[in-house]
Amino acid sequence: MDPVAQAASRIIKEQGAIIGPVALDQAKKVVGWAIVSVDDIKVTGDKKQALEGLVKQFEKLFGKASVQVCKDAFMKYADKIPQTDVPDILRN
Amino acid sequence: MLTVVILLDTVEYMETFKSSITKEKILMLTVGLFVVLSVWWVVIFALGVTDDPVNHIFGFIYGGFSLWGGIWGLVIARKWGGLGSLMGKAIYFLSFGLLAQAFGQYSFWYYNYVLKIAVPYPGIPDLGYFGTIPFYIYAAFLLFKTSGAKFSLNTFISKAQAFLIPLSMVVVAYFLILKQYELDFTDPLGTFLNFGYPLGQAVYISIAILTYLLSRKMLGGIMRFPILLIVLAFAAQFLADYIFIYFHDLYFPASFMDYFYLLAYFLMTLSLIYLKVVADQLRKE
Repeated sequence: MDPVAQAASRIIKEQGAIIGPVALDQAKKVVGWAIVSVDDIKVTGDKKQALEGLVKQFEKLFGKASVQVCKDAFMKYADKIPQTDVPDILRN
Repeated sequence: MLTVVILLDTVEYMETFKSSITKEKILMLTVGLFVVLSVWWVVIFALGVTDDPVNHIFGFIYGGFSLWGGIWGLVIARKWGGLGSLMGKAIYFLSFGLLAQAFGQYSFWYYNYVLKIAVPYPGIPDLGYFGTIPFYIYAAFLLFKTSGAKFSLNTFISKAQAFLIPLSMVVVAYFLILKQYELDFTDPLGTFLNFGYPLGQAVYISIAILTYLLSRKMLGGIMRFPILLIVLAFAAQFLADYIFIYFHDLYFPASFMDYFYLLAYFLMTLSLIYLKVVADQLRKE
């Protein structure tokens, strides 16, 4: 799986650990992704915008707390993804 | 004081909340039931009766509020992932807490109204009343993790708060309640409960206060209101318990102590049902 998709999968899993199936439902609404399940994710649009959209979708739920969870989940993949694909919201 | 601050914090959500009440029948029913019971309690208070059937019927029905909330919580927890997610687990444990209160209320009522004898202490109702405490402590801990409060624990001030708030709650418990008790090894269970009730309640309210204070800057979005409502419900339950422990000699069915319990059950039930509304809204959007 593409590292951006892997990062998205990780983010959704971490959000799922907090809010359960609501996380996957929310992720499926974000433009730029083709999400079948948490382990079957493809980027269909611009990677940076898709990642940003995903984080912002979760931000609607818990605000900054959700963004922080996304950042922590993303960290593991940060060095595998070109900086040009990393949205500001995921930078520390 | 904390209750007032949280109430002020929830004011901005009132419009959304009001519109949810009109759309959600269960929410409307819950609020309606609370209003009816409140009017009923005011009438009893105005009549000045203490051992009339209306007192006992009020006791029976308001105890059902915790049962109503507890059962709904079990259903709603599944929408949030059940035991597989922090939020789902927190809802389950809040429900268990409410159901334990229902058990306590109905066994208390049974002694009072059916058997017509003084409620024994320690007794069967304590299984429910005391049982609520570990459920609420664990639920408060899960909400602490969910709300983002843990992300704020890296500053000196927040670490100091995490130390000082539980400490000050224990001090409050000591001066208000524990000071009057003596260790009595001839009655180990009674002694355990005498100390366990106020200390256990001090633990969950401490976690709830910390959740509120440490998540203020982190917690936003659609979940802020229901989590604040749960913190408020914890505060109401704590207040009800402390008032009961402090004034239990003045107790009669449908006394002011019961009204505080009704308020605590109502707020917790409202929080849980509001989480159903949120889950349904998220699915529809």
